[in-house]
Amino acid sequence: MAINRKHNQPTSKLGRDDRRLGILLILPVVLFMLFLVAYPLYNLFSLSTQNFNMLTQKTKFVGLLNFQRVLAGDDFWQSLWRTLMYAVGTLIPCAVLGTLFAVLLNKDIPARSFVRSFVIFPYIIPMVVSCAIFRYLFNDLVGILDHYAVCLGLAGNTLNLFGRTDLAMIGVILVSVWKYTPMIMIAVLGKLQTISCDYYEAAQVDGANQWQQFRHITFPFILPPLIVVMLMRFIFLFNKWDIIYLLTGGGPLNATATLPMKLYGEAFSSYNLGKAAALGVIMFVLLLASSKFYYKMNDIAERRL
Amino acid sequence: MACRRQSLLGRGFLYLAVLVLVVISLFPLAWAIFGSFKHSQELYNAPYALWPRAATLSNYTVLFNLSNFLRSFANTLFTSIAATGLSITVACLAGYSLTRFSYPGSKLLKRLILDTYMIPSILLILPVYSILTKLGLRDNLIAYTVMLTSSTLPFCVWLMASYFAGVSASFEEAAMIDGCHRFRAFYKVVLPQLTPAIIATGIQAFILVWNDLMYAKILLSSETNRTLSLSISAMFAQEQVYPWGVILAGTVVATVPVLLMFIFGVEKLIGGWSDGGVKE
Repeated sequence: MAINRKHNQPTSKLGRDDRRLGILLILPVVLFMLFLVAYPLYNLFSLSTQNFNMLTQKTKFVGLLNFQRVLAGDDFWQSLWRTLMYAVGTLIPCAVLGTLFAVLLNKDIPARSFVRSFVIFPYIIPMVVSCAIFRYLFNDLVGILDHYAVCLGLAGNTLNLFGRTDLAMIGVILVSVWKYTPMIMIAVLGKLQTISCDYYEAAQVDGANQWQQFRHITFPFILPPLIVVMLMRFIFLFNKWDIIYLLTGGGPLNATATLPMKLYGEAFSSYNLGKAAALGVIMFVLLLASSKFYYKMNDIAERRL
Repeated sequence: MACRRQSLLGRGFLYLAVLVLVVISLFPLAWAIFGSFKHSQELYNAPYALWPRAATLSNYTVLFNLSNFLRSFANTLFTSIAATGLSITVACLAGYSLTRFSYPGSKLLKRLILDTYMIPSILLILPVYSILTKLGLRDNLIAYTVMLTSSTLPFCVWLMASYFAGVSASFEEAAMIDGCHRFRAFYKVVLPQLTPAIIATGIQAFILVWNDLMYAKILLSSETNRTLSLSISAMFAQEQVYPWGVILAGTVVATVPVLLMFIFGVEKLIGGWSDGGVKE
C-alpha cells in the first residue's frame, strides 16, 4: 500500500477530518433514502388530502374527505378482513410446517447440506416464475391438479382453484405457504443449532420421551425468535401484492382483493389517486402500529437470550 | 447439532418425511423444466408424466423468436446488476461510516435505515409514479434501476454494518500510522477482508431485484423496456395466445441466473438468513 501521504499530521486535524469523512461516507445513503423513501412518503400524505380531476388536470385540497370516502365504503372493511385472512392464514401453516421441518433437518440425515439447499428453492425461484408454474399446475383446463381432483372424484368437471370465489383465497394461501415456509424454517433451524445437547441427554436420563423433550426443551428455546420472525413476516404478508396480482389479480369477484390489491386498483385502474393515497396512509398507520409491536417483542426476545 | 440416535423405525419415518419435503420443494420447478421440453399435446393431456416422452426444443425456439423476450432478459440482467452494484457501493460506504465514526445522529440514522426496511414498496409506488411522471422519468430504465435500490439498500447497509463491526480496526490503524489516508486504508485494507461478505450481500440484493414486478409494472411501459417479470406475466395473462410450453420455457430461462447465484453462494446465504429478517 502507498504510504507517505499526509505524513506527520497533528492529531486534532486528523480527528476533524475523520468526522468529516464519516459524514461524507454516510451521505449517499441518506440522499437515496430521502429521495426514494422519505419524499415519496411525504408525497403520499399530501396526495391523500387532494383530489385530482382528470378532465381539468387540476388538484384540489379536500382535507380528510378521501379518508371519509375510504372508511365509509364496505369494501375497505372487507378488504381489511381478506388481508388479515391471507396474512394469518399463510403465517400459521408456515410457522407449524417451518418448525416441524427445521426439527427434522436438524437431525442426523444423509446429505444434510444438500437437502437444506433444496428446501429453500421455493424462496429463491423468482415470484413470476413460481406463479406461472402454479397457474399452469392449477389450471382448470390443462392443470394436473384439476385432472387428479376430477379423477379422484373430489370435484365435478373441474376444480378451478383460482377461478372460484370460495377457493381462490385458499389457492393463493397454498402457494404463499409453499413459498414462505423455507424462510421460517431457516430461522428456526439457526436457533436449533445453538441448543446444547446436554439438555436432551439430561432429559433422556429422566425418561422424557421425544414429544416431552420437544415440548419442554426445544419449544421454549425457539419460541421467542419464532414470534419475532412471524411478526416480521406478518408485516410483509399484510402488504403483499405481487403473488396475489400474479395468481388471481384480486379476483374472482374481489375474492382475493386484499388492501394492497385495492390500493393498486384505485390508483392504476380507477385513477382515484386521492382515495388510493388515503388508503396508503391508513396502511402506513397500521404498519407503524405493527412495527411498534414488533420492536417490543424483539426487545423481549433479546432479553430472554 | 444432532443429539440423539434414532431407532430404526424413527429413522425410516424421518427419511420419508425429509423425502416428502424435498419433493414438495422441488416438484414445481422440476415439472416446469421437464415440461418446457414437451410438445403441447403431451402438456395438455393425460396421462401426465414428469419425463417427456418425446423431447423437443421447439418451445425454446418459439420463445427466443418472440420479438422482445431476449430484450427483456437483457433489460433485467442490466438493471439487476446495476442496482446490485449501486446498492453494494453505497452500503459499503454507509456501513463503514456507521461502525467506525461517531458524529451527531449516527445512532439515529442507523435506526432509521433499519426502519425503512419495513416500509413496503406498495406504499411508495403511487407517489413514486406521480413524482417520476412529473420529472419525465417514467419508462426510463435508469430511473427504474435507482428506484430498485429503495428495497435493497436498507438491508444491504444493515448487513454491511454488521460485517464491518466484525473486522478489527487495528489493520486500518496500522495502515494509517504508516501514513496511509483513511479512505485509502478503507478500500485497500478493510474491503478486501470483506469480499465474501460483499458477495453474499450482493447475491441477496440481486435475487431481490431480479424478482421485482411492482416497480417494473408501474414505471416501465414500452415494449423495449420490459423486464422478464413483465414479459412472462404478460404471456400468461393471455394463455390462449401463448402455449404453456413456451411460458414454461420462459420460466426456466428466468430462473437460471438466480439459480447460478444461489449455487454459488448457498452456504453464506443460509448463514445470513438465520436471523430471519429477509424481506419479500
